[in-house]
Amino acid sequence: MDKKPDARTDIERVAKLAGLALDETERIELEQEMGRILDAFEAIQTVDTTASAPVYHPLEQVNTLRPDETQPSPERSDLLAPARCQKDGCLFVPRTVN
Amino acid sequence: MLDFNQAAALGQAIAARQVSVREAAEQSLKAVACQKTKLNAWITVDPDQVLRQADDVQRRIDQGEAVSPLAGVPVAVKDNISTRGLRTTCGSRMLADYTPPYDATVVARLSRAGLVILGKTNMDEFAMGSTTETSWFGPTMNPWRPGHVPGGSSGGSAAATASGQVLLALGSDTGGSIRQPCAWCGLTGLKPTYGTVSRYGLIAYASSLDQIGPMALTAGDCRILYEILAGPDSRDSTSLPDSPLPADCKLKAWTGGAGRPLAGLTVGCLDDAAPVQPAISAARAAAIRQLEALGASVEPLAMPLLDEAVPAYYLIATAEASSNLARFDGIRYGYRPDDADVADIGDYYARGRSEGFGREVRRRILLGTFALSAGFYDAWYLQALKVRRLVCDRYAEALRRVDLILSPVSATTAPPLGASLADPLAMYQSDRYTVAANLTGLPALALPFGQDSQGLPVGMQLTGPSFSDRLLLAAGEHIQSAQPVTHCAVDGEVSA
Repeated sequence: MDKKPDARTDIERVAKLAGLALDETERIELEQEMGRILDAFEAIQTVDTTASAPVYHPLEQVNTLRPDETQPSPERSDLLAPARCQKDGCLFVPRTVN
Repeated sequence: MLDFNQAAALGQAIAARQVSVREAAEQSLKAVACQKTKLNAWITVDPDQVLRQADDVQRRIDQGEAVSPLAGVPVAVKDNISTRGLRTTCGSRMLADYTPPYDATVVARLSRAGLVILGKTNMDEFAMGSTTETSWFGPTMNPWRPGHVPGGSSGGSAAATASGQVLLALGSDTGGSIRQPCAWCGLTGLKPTYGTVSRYGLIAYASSLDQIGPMALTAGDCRILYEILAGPDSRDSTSLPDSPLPADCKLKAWTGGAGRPLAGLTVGCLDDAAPVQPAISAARAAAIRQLEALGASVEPLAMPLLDEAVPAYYLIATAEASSNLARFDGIRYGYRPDDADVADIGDYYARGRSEGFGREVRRRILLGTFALSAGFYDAWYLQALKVRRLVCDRYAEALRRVDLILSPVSATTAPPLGASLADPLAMYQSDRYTVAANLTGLPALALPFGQDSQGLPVGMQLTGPSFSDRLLLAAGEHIQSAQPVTHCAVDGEVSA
């Protein structure tokens, strides 16, 4: 199994997955920085974790849920207030479907 | 502020009508204006809104409404905690124009308790940093020595409090972001037990690690503020009921004794070969002497996996961040770029995210995306989660042998501006002593312990078992009863 994104194509792949655009200079710099960081982080590969279950969360409990009852909710106008553009009581956003 | 250096004393004076709420607020606003250029501790302060709050609190006090011992005291709020009607930027261009339509639970609790929200403090962008240099709004300076960083990511809260502009602040701590700036600015700060303080309204960096907590000059003020903040919240599904210490926890029986208030406590002093600055070693020795003088028994404590905890932490934190920050796409949330010549929606997202996020945030999103990506998930993210298990196990074992763990907060005092940004890996590794509390969810308290040869503060850390927050703060109060702590005036004079 591969452990490091050494190749330039890997940085491009990761950037695409992350929804980030990198210019050539930044791509080269980040590739070097990521390589250095991952070289140092390889310390965790030497830890024997064969008997360890992963910890996704410090609380090993089921989520605390409130009773399923209607609660007061914010006014529509308050929620729309931060929107840059609104139309007919709806958020108005750039076209997302070509 | 108004000759008070503790919030509890100012609260008493306000309750006794010796000081009006408006006077306290105006004094803070004046200090903010005076120190704005020198420290850059704040992102948003709205004086009109502050004075309206002050008058409202005064009215509540005058009408005899039950408020809190801190009613009327101005408080700083880190700018990743939502405040209704007050801009909340996370230190980022991405949210530079965002004004939340609701209050975070902690902010609602402060308001209910009668505290006056003075404004929003500067921070590393999305809390990603250890120096408050990655903010879109420029770096914050350390009031003890401008030209040095205050620490981070809650550096604005620390600088504002250390310089006496406010006596209380809220920070958030994902890997040390309350404790390290407190240490570097001579303050006391608590990273509470995970789940004891609501995260509702905290703009997430890494959800399994983030906690909001109090910052103040003294442990006594932190305790009073913690009591206002803590408690279950139905709006946060990870919020816990007010859980007592487990029955088998030795700390439960701790009562102390006259003249030796820490008698009966065993403190494990982290036995670590990693190099620290001489001032840190001296502070550790002073802390041991003080703990022993107060009656505690101190013994060396080996703690394996400190070296591995840092990469585990960064892989987990950045993985969670890459997911949490995916919502900032310019459509649903965040900075919206000019769309005149975008090729498609993917191009639009990428442009907005690349222009809206700063370099450190982009780096961490990339690292986290990589750790979660197909082909690398098991070797990096899953392995980090398994190392997290081992770190949790080691701390649980240690806290069965000792009651509290003493360690430095950081291996150094505050570095000069720019020194940390030049080497991101070194910045990550400087979190060696703080990340374990976040990986495990344990509470940890940073306490000031002297200064280095340049006059920069040094902090030490006490870590306790889950839900020992109040006992940690009580221990801190005993330590500080024997050791006065000081504010730093920005003109360089120190006020006792």
